Amino acid sequence: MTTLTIDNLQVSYTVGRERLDVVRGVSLEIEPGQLLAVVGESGSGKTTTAQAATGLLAGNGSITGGRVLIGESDVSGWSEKRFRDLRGRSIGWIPQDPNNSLNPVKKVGESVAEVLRIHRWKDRAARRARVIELLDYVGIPNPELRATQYPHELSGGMKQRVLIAGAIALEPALLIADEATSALDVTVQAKILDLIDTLRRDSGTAVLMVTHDLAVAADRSDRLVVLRDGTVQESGDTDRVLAHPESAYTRRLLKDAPSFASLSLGDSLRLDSTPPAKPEISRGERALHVVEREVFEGVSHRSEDVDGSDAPVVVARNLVQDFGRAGAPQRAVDNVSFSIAPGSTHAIVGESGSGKTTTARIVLGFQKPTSGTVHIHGREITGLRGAGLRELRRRVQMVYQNPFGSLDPRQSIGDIVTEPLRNFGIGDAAERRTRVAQIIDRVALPATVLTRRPHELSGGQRQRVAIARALVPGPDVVVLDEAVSALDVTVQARILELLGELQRDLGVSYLFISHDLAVVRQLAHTVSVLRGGELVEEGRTARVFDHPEHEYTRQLIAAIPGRRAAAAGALASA
Amino acid sequence: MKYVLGRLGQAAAVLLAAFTVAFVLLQAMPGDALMIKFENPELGLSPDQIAALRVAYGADTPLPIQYVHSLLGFLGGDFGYSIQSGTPVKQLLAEVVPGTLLLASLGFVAAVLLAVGITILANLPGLRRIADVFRALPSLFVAVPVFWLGIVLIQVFSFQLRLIPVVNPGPVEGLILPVLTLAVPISAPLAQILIRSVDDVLGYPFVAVVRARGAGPWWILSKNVARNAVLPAFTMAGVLFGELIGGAVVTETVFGRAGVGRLTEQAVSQQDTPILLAVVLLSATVFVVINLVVDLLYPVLDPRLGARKRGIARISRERKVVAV
Amino acid sequence: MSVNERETRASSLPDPFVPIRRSLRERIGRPKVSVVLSVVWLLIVIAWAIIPQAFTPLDPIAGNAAQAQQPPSLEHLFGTDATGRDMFTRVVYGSINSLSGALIAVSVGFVIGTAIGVIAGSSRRILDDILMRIVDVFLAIPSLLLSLSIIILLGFGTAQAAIAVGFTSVAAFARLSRSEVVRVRGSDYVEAAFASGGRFPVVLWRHVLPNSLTAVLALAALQFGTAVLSISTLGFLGYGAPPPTPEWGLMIAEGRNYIATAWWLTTLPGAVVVLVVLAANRVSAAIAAKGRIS
Repeated sequence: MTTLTIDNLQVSYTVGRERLDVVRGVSLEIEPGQLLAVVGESGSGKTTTAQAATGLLAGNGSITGGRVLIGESDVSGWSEKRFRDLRGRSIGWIPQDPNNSLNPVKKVGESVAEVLRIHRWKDRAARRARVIELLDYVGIPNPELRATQYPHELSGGMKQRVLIAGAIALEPALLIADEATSALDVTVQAKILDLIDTLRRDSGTAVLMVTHDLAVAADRSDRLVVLRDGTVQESGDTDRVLAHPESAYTRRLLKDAPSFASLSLGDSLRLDSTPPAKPEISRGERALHVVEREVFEGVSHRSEDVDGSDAPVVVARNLVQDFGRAGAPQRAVDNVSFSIAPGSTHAIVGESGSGKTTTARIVLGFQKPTSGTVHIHGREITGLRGAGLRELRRRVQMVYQNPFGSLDPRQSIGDIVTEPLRNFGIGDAAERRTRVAQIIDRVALPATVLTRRPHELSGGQRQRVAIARALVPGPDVVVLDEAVSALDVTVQARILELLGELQRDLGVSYLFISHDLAVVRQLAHTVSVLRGGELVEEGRTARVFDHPEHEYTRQLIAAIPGRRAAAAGALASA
Repeated sequence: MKYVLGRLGQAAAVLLAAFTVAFVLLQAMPGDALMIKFENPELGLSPDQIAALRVAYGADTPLPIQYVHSLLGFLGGDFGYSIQSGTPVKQLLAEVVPGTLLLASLGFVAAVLLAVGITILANLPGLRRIADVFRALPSLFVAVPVFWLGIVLIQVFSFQLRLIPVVNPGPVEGLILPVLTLAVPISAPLAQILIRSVDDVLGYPFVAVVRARGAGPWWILSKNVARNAVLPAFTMAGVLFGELIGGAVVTETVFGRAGVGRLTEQAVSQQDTPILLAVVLLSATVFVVINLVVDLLYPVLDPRLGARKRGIARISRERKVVAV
Repeated sequence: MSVNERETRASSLPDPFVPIRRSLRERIGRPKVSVVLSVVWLLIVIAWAIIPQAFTPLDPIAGNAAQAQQPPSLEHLFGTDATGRDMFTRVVYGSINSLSGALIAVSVGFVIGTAIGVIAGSSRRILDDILMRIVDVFLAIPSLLLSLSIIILLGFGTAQAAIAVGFTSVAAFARLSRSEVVRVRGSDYVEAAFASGGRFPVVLWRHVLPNSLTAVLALAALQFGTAVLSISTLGFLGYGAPPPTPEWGLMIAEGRNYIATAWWLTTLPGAVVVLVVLAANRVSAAIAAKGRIS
């Protein structure tokens, strides 16, 4: 018996007087024990489809056509009351962001027990035993203790396990995972996905997985449905879709997704921009000795001695950053060193709490390190103030993760991009205009954006504006802090291409901060891997990825989703 | 423990500063009330007599000494003497505090009931259609002048409906209208913050999760939203107390009840600054104590804060990726 | 290969990354009826204050004893008082007292409070702490008592009452403007402005202040209503304008003596106060809501 059937589903939202058709004829079927992934970029209607299956559409949304069958009963016309009995009992829901999805003033055991209480499952003692059993099953160590803790005492991955425990408490036939691992670190993500796989094997639960991440979907699903603008672009067995995608859109997604690009399509971007050879080699050598600190420091000295154009633009040495009270400081960055060759990209990768953003802020002069030095073109910059700091900022610019938050909503794009020129007193009004026009053209934006305000632009366009602003004063180094992480994959691919082009043409160096190893592999020449503030591995990107020396690096790389797709892609192209 | 001590010290500092502000405003500025009273030609006092009186009231000593003197007096529970009647302020206050305390506590309880009632009615699943009416109620309540409300209530209940006698009402009857008058404006900000925080909490992801587990709206409101939504209201306790004092001044004046408010109103009319100084300081003390209690109690009510105060909060500025 | 081709998605889901190109009118949205009514009503009351003679031919001070104590009628919309003065005329002429008083009060609170808040929010820890502790002290004294203390100092009168009321809102303005400045200062675009070589005063002027202002303006509108209330309260207690000034609070106080026989003397002026405060609060909410959208 098919667990979930969606047949030509149509959903609209009413906004003001307008009717927006968000889902326009989506069909899919999930058999018991199967995992079907619905993949799409933002606005594709993937979440709406999942919501419609549980009757959880927002107040202004309604099913305007098609059928939804849970088991054999058509639920599309059901009342809220009838749906309520279904939810939790027949359909389990794993939410997107585990950090806000548990009642903060409830103990986690009570949160799990809640679904049992709602459906009046047995008595108090039986519920308590069931909660412990569930927490144990989802892999929470010491469940008796954990059940009495509050959500803020648990890590993100742990919270997601608790939420899964609640979702499967009544052994529903169908589990809906709505971007259930998107907010998690990559190693945690892999473990949660493993848990969902175990669950399917153990109890034959069918899973509807909603995700923007094609790599995750490809790795874990039996069937794939690719959505765009509320319509199905492609649907079928995952292996078939990966090997022989039928729609152009799917092909583009496969091409743009960074993990596939780096594993199957090779190092196109990276090889395009040929970095200076000499520092590359010396950095490679250094990486071999990275574990032995003395040797490492000796080499750092030598790299400073290198004269002329081969000298690194940025040399950071033994950075330490403590936060908090003097008595009990918390060490965010612990003895981190790296350098960036001119015209190359150095990436700092790590999961949350690894200290990568703090390191970037030190290089930008926003944060004075507790100890350690940063030299830019041989000049020490830590602790700079006033005129010295402003001079530094002309040379080191930054692009933020969130392109909406980093542009002043009240200014026009023209004002935003001109601002660095005005601040640094570069050129007169006419020259500034020319220069801004050039740079806007250079980031492939039409000149008409100059009079627009940030909210009128798309995310990708805004990020181009942020890049233009960073480049307009002619910096030597641009710090990219998760600069492509918030973008859809196709937009992300275009921005990465742009960054590669700009580096080739302008010779600018990048310090690329990211949690996304797939993207890093695509863009960076050299890479530092951070964990808990410490440098665990460093070296040329190809070497680190192909022959990781440190156990943690191996774990990280193993956790990158997209292997199966890459294999299929390689097969297809072979 | 260290936190509690620090918080106590902070409270004491605020009180000292409040005393200083009140002292500067009421005692140290020129044109003091003594002169107004005794230089009145009708009294026919000679300059010598005035000087003697000033010595008696301690008005001739330099300001810093006056300041220390009053401060020590206040710490020892001595609030000085009323200029008009010469009675110790402490005695005047002792006579009227119980009455005001009764009025204020009843008014507060009524306000809380009113606010909670409005919030529930504004969110009741069955009442969606008329919820907007209840949502608009607090905005109406804040716009109503307390004194006018009292007068209108007297007009309606005493003169039109003749339910409550104006002259010599019984102790209970006499309290109904004043309590109501006091409660309405106090309930308004409370209801506003409750309604808003219920709305906020309803938008949190965890509510969606509970919904997806099959909970109905009533279950969500009572078992999940209520506790989260009540928390912000506690931070208003101090401000509400201030409103109660202000409300008492007006209510007692309108209804002609003896009380701290009435005493204050008369003190201002007669420029009797020692009384006002004492009332200001007593209120500031109660305000600070309320806030102190709320602050110390809050971590007990909200488990997250306990952790944050103990410094377990994450230090890293690392940002989570925004999921698309 | 244009950018738009690459990036524009036809979907019109409410997604923050979809390009939104809307006219000003669309962005503000169709103005709500209640907001329009509020603005119109406030404009009428302002007109009363500026040109009262256009609304009533009668005199607010001199009464006609022959027409004393008349209930509301077409001739006397709000009735007449014990000395035969037309109450509607007195309400119209009284608006100048309430409005100018509220304006003074809001200005005092706005200027002092926002100055303290902006300085505290944009300076280092120590100064910030000192300023905010001072503000805490003002918060610790109940607002009516604070204004009474100031009135004892300044003496009775409309302007004095207005200033006293203004001081009670200093703390609210200071706290809000500080938190807004701190919020905006923590935003990426302000950091980006520093990264673009901006000096502190420039960044403050160009980015921080414009983006902090909406919330403070909303508070100003809210405080306007509150000030009208407080000033009428002080007038009622007898600390504002002296009789026979047609001040709303004072008129209600005078009407109290006839509470058993002439309900209109207290009820109708009070209703006008309620409507003015309601309207000001409604406008405030609209400003705040608009700030959240843009």
